Amino acid sequence: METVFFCLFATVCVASALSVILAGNPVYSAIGLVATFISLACIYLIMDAELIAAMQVLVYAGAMMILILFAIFLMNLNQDDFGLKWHLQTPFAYVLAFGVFGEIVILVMKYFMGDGAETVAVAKTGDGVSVAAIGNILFNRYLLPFEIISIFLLAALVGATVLTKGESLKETKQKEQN
Amino acid sequence: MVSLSSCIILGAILFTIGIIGVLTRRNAIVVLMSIELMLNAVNVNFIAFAQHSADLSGQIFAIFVIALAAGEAAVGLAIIILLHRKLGSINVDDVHLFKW
Repeated sequence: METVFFCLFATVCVASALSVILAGNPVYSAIGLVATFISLACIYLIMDAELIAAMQVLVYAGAMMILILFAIFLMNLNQDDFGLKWHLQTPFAYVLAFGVFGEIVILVMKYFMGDGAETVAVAKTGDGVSVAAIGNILFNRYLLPFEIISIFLLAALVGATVLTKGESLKETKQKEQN
Repeated sequence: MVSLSSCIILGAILFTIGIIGVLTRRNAIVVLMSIELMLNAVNVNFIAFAQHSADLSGQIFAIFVIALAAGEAAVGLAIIILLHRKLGSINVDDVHLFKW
Protein backbone atom coordinates (compact mmCIF):
# COMPACT_ATOMS: atom_id res chain seq x y z
CA MET A 1 0.00 0.00 0.00
CA GLU A 2 2.81 2.36 0.82
CA THR A 3 4.48 1.47 -2.44
CA VAL A 4 1.38 2.52 -4.40
CA PHE A 5 1.32 5.93 -2.77
CA PHE A 6 5.07 6.28 -3.14
CA CYS A 7 4.87 5.58 -6.88
CA LEU A 8 2.01 8.06 -7.25
CA PHE A 9 3.81 10.88 -5.48
CA ALA A 10 7.10 10.05 -7.17
CA THR A 11 5.42 10.34 -10.59
CA VAL A 12 3.96 13.74 -9.69
CA CYS A 13 7.36 14.81 -8.38
CA VAL A 14 9.31 13.83 -11.49
CA ALA A 15 6.69 15.32 -13.81
CA SER A 16 6.73 18.69 -12.06
CA ALA A 17 10.53 18.63 -11.88
CA LEU A 18 10.57 18.19 -15.66
CA SER A 19 8.20 21.13 -15.99
CA VAL A 20 10.66 23.25 -14.00
CA ILE A 21 13.39 22.87 -16.58
CA LEU A 22 11.23 22.67 -19.69
CA ALA A 23 8.76 25.52 -19.20
CA GLY A 24 9.21 28.70 -21.18
CA ASN A 25 7.85 31.09 -18.61
CA PRO A 26 9.75 31.31 -15.29
CA VAL A 27 6.42 31.56 -13.46
CA TYR A 28 5.47 28.13 -14.81
CA SER A 29 8.80 26.81 -13.55
CA ALA A 30 8.09 28.26 -10.10
CA ILE A 31 4.64 26.65 -9.95
CA GLY A 32 6.16 23.34 -11.04
CA LEU A 33 8.72 23.67 -8.27
CA VAL A 34 5.96 24.22 -5.70
CA ALA A 35 4.29 21.01 -6.91
CA THR A 36 7.62 19.19 -6.58
CA PHE A 37 8.10 20.40 -3.03
CA ILE A 38 4.61 19.40 -1.92
CA SER A 39 4.83 15.94 -3.48
CA LEU A 40 8.21 15.48 -1.80
CA ALA A 41 6.60 16.44 1.53
CA CYS A 42 4.00 13.70 0.96
CA ILE A 43 6.84 11.24 0.27
CA TYR A 44 8.53 12.27 3.50
CA LEU A 45 5.28 11.54 5.34
CA ILE A 46 5.33 8.03 3.90
CA MET A 47 8.90 7.66 5.11
CA ASP A 48 8.07 8.47 8.76
CA ALA A 49 9.56 11.98 8.67
CA GLU A 50 6.67 14.12 9.84
CA LEU A 51 8.69 17.06 11.12
CA ILE A 52 10.73 17.24 7.92
CA ALA A 53 7.56 17.14 5.83
CA ALA A 54 6.10 20.05 7.80
CA MET A 55 9.35 22.00 7.52
CA GLN A 56 9.49 21.31 3.79
CA VAL A 57 6.03 22.77 3.22
CA LEU A 58 6.62 25.76 5.49
CA VAL A 59 10.13 26.74 4.44
CA TYR A 60 10.48 25.53 0.86
CA ALA A 61 6.99 25.65 -0.62
CA GLY A 62 5.93 28.52 1.60
CA ALA A 63 8.66 31.07 2.22
CA MET A 64 11.20 30.33 -0.52
CA MET A 65 8.77 30.10 -3.42
CA ILE A 66 7.01 33.31 -2.37
CA LEU A 67 10.45 34.95 -2.36
CA ILE A 68 11.29 33.63 -5.81
CA LEU A 69 7.88 34.57 -7.23
CA PHE A 70 8.15 38.11 -5.88
CA ALA A 71 11.61 38.44 -7.39
CA ILE A 72 10.23 37.27 -10.77
CA PHE A 73 7.32 39.71 -10.60
CA LEU A 74 9.38 42.67 -9.43
CA MET A 75 11.92 42.32 -12.19
CA ASN A 76 9.45 42.60 -15.08
CA LEU A 77 11.17 40.02 -17.22
CA ASN A 78 10.93 40.01 -20.97
CA GLN A 79 10.03 36.49 -21.98
CA ASP A 80 13.03 35.96 -24.20
CA ASP A 81 14.02 32.64 -22.74
CA PHE A 82 11.67 30.00 -24.06
CA GLY A 83 12.61 26.72 -22.55
CA LEU A 84 15.59 24.63 -23.46
CA LYS A 85 17.67 25.93 -26.32
CA TRP A 86 20.60 24.34 -28.06
CA HIS A 87 23.90 25.88 -26.98
CA LEU A 88 27.47 24.78 -27.47
CA GLN A 89 27.58 23.11 -24.08
CA THR A 90 24.21 21.32 -24.22
CA PRO A 91 25.59 17.91 -25.35
CA PHE A 92 28.21 18.02 -22.58
CA ALA A 93 25.47 18.84 -20.06
CA TYR A 94 23.41 15.83 -21.12
CA VAL A 95 26.46 13.55 -21.10
CA LEU A 96 27.38 14.66 -17.59
CA ALA A 97 23.83 14.41 -16.27
CA PHE A 98 23.18 10.94 -17.65
CA GLY A 99 26.64 9.87 -16.58
CA VAL A 100 25.82 10.76 -13.00
CA PHE A 101 22.47 9.02 -13.24
CA GLY A 102 23.96 5.88 -14.76
CA GLU A 103 26.63 5.76 -12.08
CA ILE A 104 24.05 5.88 -9.28
CA VAL A 105 21.91 3.23 -10.97
CA ILE A 106 24.92 0.93 -11.37
CA LEU A 107 25.81 1.38 -7.71
CA VAL A 108 22.26 0.64 -6.59
CA MET A 109 22.01 -2.46 -8.74
CA LYS A 110 25.38 -3.78 -7.63
CA TYR A 111 24.60 -3.28 -3.96
CA PHE A 112 20.98 -4.36 -3.86
CA MET A 113 20.70 -7.05 -6.53
CA GLY A 114 24.15 -8.51 -5.89
CA ASP A 115 23.67 -10.16 -2.54
CA GLY A 116 20.10 -9.10 -1.81
CA ALA A 117 21.42 -6.93 0.97
CA GLU A 118 18.33 -5.03 1.98
CA THR A 119 18.88 -6.53 5.38
CA VAL A 120 19.73 -3.38 7.22
CA ALA A 121 18.21 -3.93 10.61
CA VAL A 122 15.10 -1.84 10.80
CA ALA A 123 12.69 -1.39 13.60
CA LYS A 124 9.48 0.06 12.24
CA THR A 125 8.59 1.96 15.33
CA GLY A 126 6.23 4.84 15.45
CA ASP A 127 7.53 6.15 18.72
CA GLY A 128 11.19 6.65 17.90
CA VAL A 129 10.54 9.28 15.29
CA SER A 130 8.65 11.92 17.15
CA VAL A 131 9.48 15.57 17.37
CA ALA A 132 10.69 15.00 20.94
CA ALA A 133 13.21 12.45 19.70
CA ILE A 134 14.49 14.82 17.01
CA GLY A 135 14.74 17.62 19.53
CA ASN A 136 16.64 15.36 21.88
CA ILE A 137 19.27 14.60 19.26
CA LEU A 138 19.35 18.08 17.79
CA PHE A 139 20.11 19.83 21.06
CA ASN A 140 22.42 17.23 22.56
CA ARG A 141 24.51 15.61 19.87
CA TYR A 142 24.18 18.14 17.06
CA LEU A 143 24.25 21.30 19.14
CA LEU A 144 27.31 22.78 17.45
CA PRO A 145 25.94 22.47 13.89
CA PHE A 146 22.68 23.95 15.15
CA GLU A 147 24.44 27.05 16.48
CA ILE A 148 26.52 27.36 13.32
CA ILE A 149 23.36 27.18 11.21
CA SER A 150 21.86 30.05 13.20
CA ILE A 151 24.98 32.16 12.62
CA PHE A 152 24.86 31.26 8.95
CA LEU A 153 21.23 32.38 8.69
CA LEU A 154 22.14 35.67 10.37
CA ALA A 155 24.98 36.16 7.88
CA ALA A 156 22.66 35.39 4.95
CA LEU A 157 20.09 37.86 6.25
CA VAL A 158 22.60 40.66 6.75
CA GLY A 159 24.25 39.91 3.42
CA ALA A 160 21.03 39.99 1.43
CA THR A 161 20.00 43.24 3.12
CA VAL A 162 23.34 44.94 2.51
CA LEU A 163 23.52 43.78 -1.10
CA THR A 164 20.17 45.23 -2.13
CA LYS A 165 20.25 48.33 0.00
CA GLY A 166 20.91 50.84 -2.73
CA GLU A 167 21.45 54.46 -1.88
CA SER A 168 19.81 56.00 1.11
CA LEU A 169 18.16 59.40 0.86
CA LYS A 170 21.09 61.10 2.60
CA GLU A 171 23.63 59.64 0.17
CA THR A 172 21.57 60.73 -2.84
CA LYS A 173 21.35 64.30 -1.52
CA GLN A 174 25.09 64.34 -0.85
CA LYS A 175 25.74 63.26 -4.41
CA GLU A 176 23.50 66.00 -5.72
CA GLN A 177 25.34 68.61 -3.67
CA ASN A 178 28.76 67.51 -4.91
CA MET B 1 8.58 0.60 4.39
CA VAL B 2 9.39 1.77 0.89
CA SER B 3 12.31 -0.06 -0.65
CA LEU B 4 15.59 1.78 -0.31
CA SER B 5 16.59 1.35 -3.94
CA SER B 6 13.41 3.09 -5.12
CA CYS B 7 14.15 6.09 -2.94
CA ILE B 8 17.73 6.30 -4.16
CA ILE B 9 16.60 6.08 -7.78
CA LEU B 10 14.06 8.85 -7.19
CA GLY B 11 16.81 11.00 -5.71
CA ALA B 12 19.05 10.23 -8.68
CA ILE B 13 16.32 11.20 -11.18
CA LEU B 14 15.69 14.52 -9.42
CA PHE B 15 19.42 15.20 -9.24
CA THR B 16 19.83 14.53 -12.96
CA ILE B 17 16.95 16.84 -13.83
CA GLY B 18 18.55 19.50 -11.63
CA ILE B 19 21.92 19.14 -13.36
CA ILE B 20 20.32 19.49 -16.80
CA GLY B 21 18.46 22.59 -15.61
CA VAL B 22 21.57 24.24 -14.18
CA LEU B 23 23.74 23.62 -17.23
CA THR B 24 21.21 24.28 -19.97
CA ARG B 25 18.82 27.06 -19.01
CA ARG B 26 19.88 30.67 -19.50
CA ASN B 27 17.51 32.34 -17.06
CA ALA B 28 19.31 32.92 -13.75
CA ILE B 29 16.20 32.31 -11.64
CA VAL B 30 15.52 28.97 -13.33
CA VAL B 31 19.16 28.03 -12.60
CA LEU B 32 18.51 28.84 -8.93
CA MET B 33 15.39 26.71 -8.96
CA SER B 34 17.31 23.80 -10.48
CA ILE B 35 19.85 24.07 -7.66
CA GLU B 36 16.95 23.77 -5.21
CA LEU B 37 15.88 20.62 -7.08
CA MET B 38 19.32 19.12 -6.56
CA LEU B 39 19.22 19.92 -2.86
CA ASN B 40 15.83 18.26 -2.56
CA ALA B 41 17.19 15.15 -4.24
CA VAL B 42 19.88 14.97 -1.57
CA ASN B 43 17.20 15.43 1.09
CA VAL B 44 15.27 12.45 -0.27
CA ASN B 45 18.40 10.35 0.09
CA PHE B 46 18.93 11.48 3.68
CA ILE B 47 15.36 10.72 4.73
CA ALA B 48 15.43 7.33 3.01
CA PHE B 49 18.55 6.27 4.87
CA ALA B 50 17.17 7.67 8.11
CA GLN B 51 14.16 5.41 7.73
CA HIS B 52 16.10 2.34 6.73
CA SER B 53 18.79 2.43 9.38
CA ALA B 54 16.44 3.67 12.13
CA ASP B 55 18.89 6.46 12.82
CA LEU B 56 17.49 9.95 13.18
CA SER B 57 20.71 11.64 12.05
CA GLY B 58 19.48 11.60 8.47
CA GLN B 59 16.53 13.76 9.41
CA ILE B 60 18.79 16.15 11.32
CA PHE B 61 20.95 16.54 8.22
CA ALA B 62 17.81 17.15 6.17
CA ILE B 63 16.86 19.98 8.57
CA PHE B 64 20.28 21.52 8.06
CA VAL B 65 20.05 21.19 4.28
CA ILE B 66 16.65 22.94 4.29
CA ALA B 67 18.01 25.81 6.40
CA LEU B 68 21.10 26.16 4.20
CA ALA B 69 19.02 26.15 1.02
CA ALA B 70 16.80 28.90 2.38
CA GLY B 71 19.77 31.14 3.22
CA GLU B 72 21.46 30.46 -0.07
CA ALA B 73 18.32 31.21 -2.07
CA ALA B 74 17.96 34.56 -0.29
CA VAL B 75 21.51 35.64 -1.08
CA GLY B 76 21.29 34.27 -4.62
CA LEU B 77 18.13 36.24 -5.31
CA ALA B 78 19.77 39.39 -3.92
CA ILE B 79 22.64 38.91 -6.36
CA ILE B 80 20.22 38.33 -9.25
CA ILE B 81 18.33 41.51 -8.39
CA LEU B 82 21.58 43.47 -8.36
CA LEU B 83 22.50 41.94 -11.71
CA HIS B 84 19.18 43.04 -13.13
CA ARG B 85 19.76 46.56 -11.87
CA LYS B 86 23.17 46.80 -13.52
CA LEU B 87 22.67 44.93 -16.77
CA GLY B 88 18.93 45.05 -17.39
CA SER B 89 18.68 41.33 -18.11
CA ILE B 90 19.14 38.14 -16.11
CA ASN B 91 20.41 36.04 -18.98
CA VAL B 92 23.54 34.31 -17.72
CA ASP B 93 25.08 34.70 -21.17
CA ASP B 94 25.17 38.47 -20.66
CA VAL B 95 27.40 38.27 -17.58
CA HIS B 96 30.78 38.22 -19.31
CA LEU B 97 32.71 41.20 -17.96
CA PHE B 98 35.56 38.93 -16.89
CA LYS B 99 35.94 37.39 -20.34
CA TRP B 100 39.31 37.99 -21.89
